[in-house]
Amino acid sequence: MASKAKRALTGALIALTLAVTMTGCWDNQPLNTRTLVLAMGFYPGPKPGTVQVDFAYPTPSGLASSNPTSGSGGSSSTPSFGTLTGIGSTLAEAFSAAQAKTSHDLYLGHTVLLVFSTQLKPTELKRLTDALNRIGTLDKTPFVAASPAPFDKVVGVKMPQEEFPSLYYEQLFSCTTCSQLTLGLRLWQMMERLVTPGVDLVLPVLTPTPEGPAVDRVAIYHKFQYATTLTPKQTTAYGIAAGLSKKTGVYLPRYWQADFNAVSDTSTVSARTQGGSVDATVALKVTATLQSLSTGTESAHQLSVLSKQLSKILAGEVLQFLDTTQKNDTDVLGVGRSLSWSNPQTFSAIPSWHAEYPKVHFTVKCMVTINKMGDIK
Amino acid sequence: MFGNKMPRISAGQFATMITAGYAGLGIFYFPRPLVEEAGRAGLYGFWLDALAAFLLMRLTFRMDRLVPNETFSRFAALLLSKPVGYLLGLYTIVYHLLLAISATVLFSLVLGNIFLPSTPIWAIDGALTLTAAYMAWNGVASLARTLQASYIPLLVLTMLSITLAAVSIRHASLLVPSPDVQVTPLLKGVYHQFLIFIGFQLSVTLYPFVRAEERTRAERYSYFALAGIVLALTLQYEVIMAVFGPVLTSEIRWPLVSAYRIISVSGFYISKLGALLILLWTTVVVAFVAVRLWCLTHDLSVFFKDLVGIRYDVGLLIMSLLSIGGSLLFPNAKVADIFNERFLVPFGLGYLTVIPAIVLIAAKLRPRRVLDLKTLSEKGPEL
Repeated sequence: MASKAKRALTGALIALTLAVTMTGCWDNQPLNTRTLVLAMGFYPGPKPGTVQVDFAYPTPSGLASSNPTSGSGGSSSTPSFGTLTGIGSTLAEAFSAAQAKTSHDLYLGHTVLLVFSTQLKPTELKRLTDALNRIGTLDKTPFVAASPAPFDKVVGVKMPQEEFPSLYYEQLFSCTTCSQLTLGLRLWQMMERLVTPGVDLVLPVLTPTPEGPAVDRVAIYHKFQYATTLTPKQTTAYGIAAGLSKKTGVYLPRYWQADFNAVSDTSTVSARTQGGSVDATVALKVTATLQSLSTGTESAHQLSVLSKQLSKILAGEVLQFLDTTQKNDTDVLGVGRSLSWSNPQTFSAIPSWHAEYPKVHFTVKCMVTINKMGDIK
Repeated sequence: MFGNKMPRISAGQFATMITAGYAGLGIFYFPRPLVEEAGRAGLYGFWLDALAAFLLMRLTFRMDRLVPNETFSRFAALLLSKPVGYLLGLYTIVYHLLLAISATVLFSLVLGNIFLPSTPIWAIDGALTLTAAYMAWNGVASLARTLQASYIPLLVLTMLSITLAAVSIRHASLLVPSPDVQVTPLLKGVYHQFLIFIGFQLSVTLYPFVRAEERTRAERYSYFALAGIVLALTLQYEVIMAVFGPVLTSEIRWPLVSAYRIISVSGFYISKLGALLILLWTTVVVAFVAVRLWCLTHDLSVFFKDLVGIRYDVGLLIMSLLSIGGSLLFPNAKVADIFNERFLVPFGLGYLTVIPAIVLIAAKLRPRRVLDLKTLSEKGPEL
């Protein structure tokens, strides 16, 4: 009997200890005491060496109006999202400064977009990305983008479909066929580009326009240093060179007014050394759909001419784009990375890849497959 | 001979417990030590580790077969003289305790960093260890059944998560390990990565609990399970390598955790599914600690048998509290990392190679003694 009581006592003791230690309630916070940050913006601070970090979050009325089950939702007079700003020499300092301005817990676990100003200095960008990598609650999946415009303009621009700007961008980047090129880049992919030798960073640029945001350009970087923003035409060439093209259209007015849409491709970059210099080959496999032709129906001869012309045009565009990257000394296709994987000893023998990249000799091979439409009268 | 009341486990349960006894430690670092040293040739290193684990497992089972009805802590003293036996018993206890502590520390740091930043680490340590103690509370048979029930869903979810992470592969060429192998860095990587296979020495305590007629099958199942673990980890390695590339893999804190955290399923109810999937590894770590606590308690009572009788549940509580206390001594992940590398790997490898060698040689020299031990009757209390 005594032993039974002892057993029961031990059991109760264990149950009690488990109840205390296993609750997991230490971190449990009601949602209305939390500010769920959806987007963060990183800009140079007012004083040298400082950074300004903006935190965009949905307001309660914004949350209510985005929820279809909540009826009419919040009134249109109240804004659907708010922004908090913190300034400091590190991300942690800026975070504390922003946290001081709210009575809610600033929570980063739901962040979906990070916007880096193109004016950030390389040291600032490095410090910020290092710090972002260390935040445990921040997932590695937010999309990253660059913008020359202030954060308020980027997230404040009127969105064509979505209530929350950051969710609009997240949907745009997640969907591979929602834009001409799939430019979406996640935080971990940015990290991979920043730490791996022989490849440079490319970030999609968010440009606010009165009709809504435009995402048709990319910013290219030299290590952590912003180099330049490509024009939409160069960006298309980048998309084709990197195998990101999904819906590019090409019009050949001199060849039976052939109109192609859905030009999509895959790209393989390979590199080898020959006689002390690096030769790189960009092999493109392009698929294009013939949309219209002045003769109505295509012949085998026409297809062969069109395929030849299309590959010539695309290869020319890509070569021109590669020339731009060599002038800016940014290896956005990862020629060095490819060399380091295929031939690690040769790559490590090169003292500085950035000194080598402008001298790389490029060959672009382009193979076009045309999806025939049959009778397209 | 064991009495009829002695709980016995089946071959499958033995294999599950042995497997649970190793795959937990160092899992979150995997495959960083290898990639750091050997770069893209790391996969060869992992297979070398697996081969070493297989050979050492064979050696350990061979030692277990010498006196199949006695645990190692018992027959070591009788075969190798009392002082040596006590020394080996102490080694076993301290080493298992350190393994349990190290696994707990690593897991609670990961969990604290990602999910529970405001929760004190001692609470996570405590919750994990006490859950493990609860699993081991009713002895070996119920622990084995619990593990069997939890490992199959774990396997399914692991395969699902590998598939989901594989969607993020951008550089398929990284799937093929580099032909450029440099021997010294590779061997260094092999040595550091062996951590993931350390822990199956608990078979020396567990072996007598397997039904006598199922022992050969139990050994065979353990090898199959090892092959399964090697396959699963090879897939993990490939995915991590092809997703992150060799440079980022050696720079991120917990590659396996990071690989899960990039899993993002748009449109699914939980878009950050990967974060949820990390939690399934709780099973692996709790199982690792649970089998260790059971083993520790058993060895503890054998060790103090001549001085004082320790009841199983009391021993389990003592060991759990020691494990929690030990976990609190680790301030951060770096210290745990250094501790693993400097102590757990060399002492674990030492245990797995030197002890079977000594015992097998001693058995060769004293065949009569071994025969006596084989027929020794068991009069001790049920453990």
